[in-house]
Amino acid sequence: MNHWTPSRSLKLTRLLNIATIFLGVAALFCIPICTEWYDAVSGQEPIRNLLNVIFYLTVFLALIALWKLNGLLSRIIHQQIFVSENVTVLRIISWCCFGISALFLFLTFYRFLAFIVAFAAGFFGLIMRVLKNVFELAVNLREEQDFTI
Amino acid sequence: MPIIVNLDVMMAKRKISSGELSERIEITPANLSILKNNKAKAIRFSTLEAICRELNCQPGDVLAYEPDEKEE
Repeated sequence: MNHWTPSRSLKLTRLLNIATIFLGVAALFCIPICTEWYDAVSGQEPIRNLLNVIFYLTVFLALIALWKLNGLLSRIIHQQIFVSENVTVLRIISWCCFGISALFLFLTFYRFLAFIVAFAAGFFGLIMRVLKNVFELAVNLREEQDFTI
Repeated sequence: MPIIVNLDVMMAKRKISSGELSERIEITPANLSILKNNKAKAIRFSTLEAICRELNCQPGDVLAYEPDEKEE
């Protein structure tokens, strides 16, 4: 018995994505408290304002990426897979990842551990870029197939 | 694309309608319209063969090469 169908995995992914969007929105309200707490326990020079700015920008970029991902999943559920809109969405997501990577790379000057997030976000952005190129090629092939009479 | 499909001209010469031709060559009217409006990216030999058979013409009668102005 195979209960793990593609449609169920898509629905679960979309559900988790929506939950993450809500978490992201909730995080917007918690950032000042978290940064205040971090400055108190870190024992290093306080960088609360910088952390606030970086975290707000990060959550903003992450919410854009998640919102676009939601649209992509919705289109995939409706069998609109190799369409140019999905290529655009993947491009936007990759740029959001690169943006987050740049923000944390800057933070590395103050807290070295931020390099891990910068690396992960940059790597994920590159994977999204490759995926975008694959989708772009698939869209071209589909168009050629559709317009071959 | 520098390849032009002159299907309209041949159809007018043979006095055949789009509906009739699409039925005879067994493609949908929508696909015939794509072909007539030069929107097609490729044409199968089987389709070209059917067109030439039904219009009693040569591939060169329905296809023409016109170089792009930029390429010249």
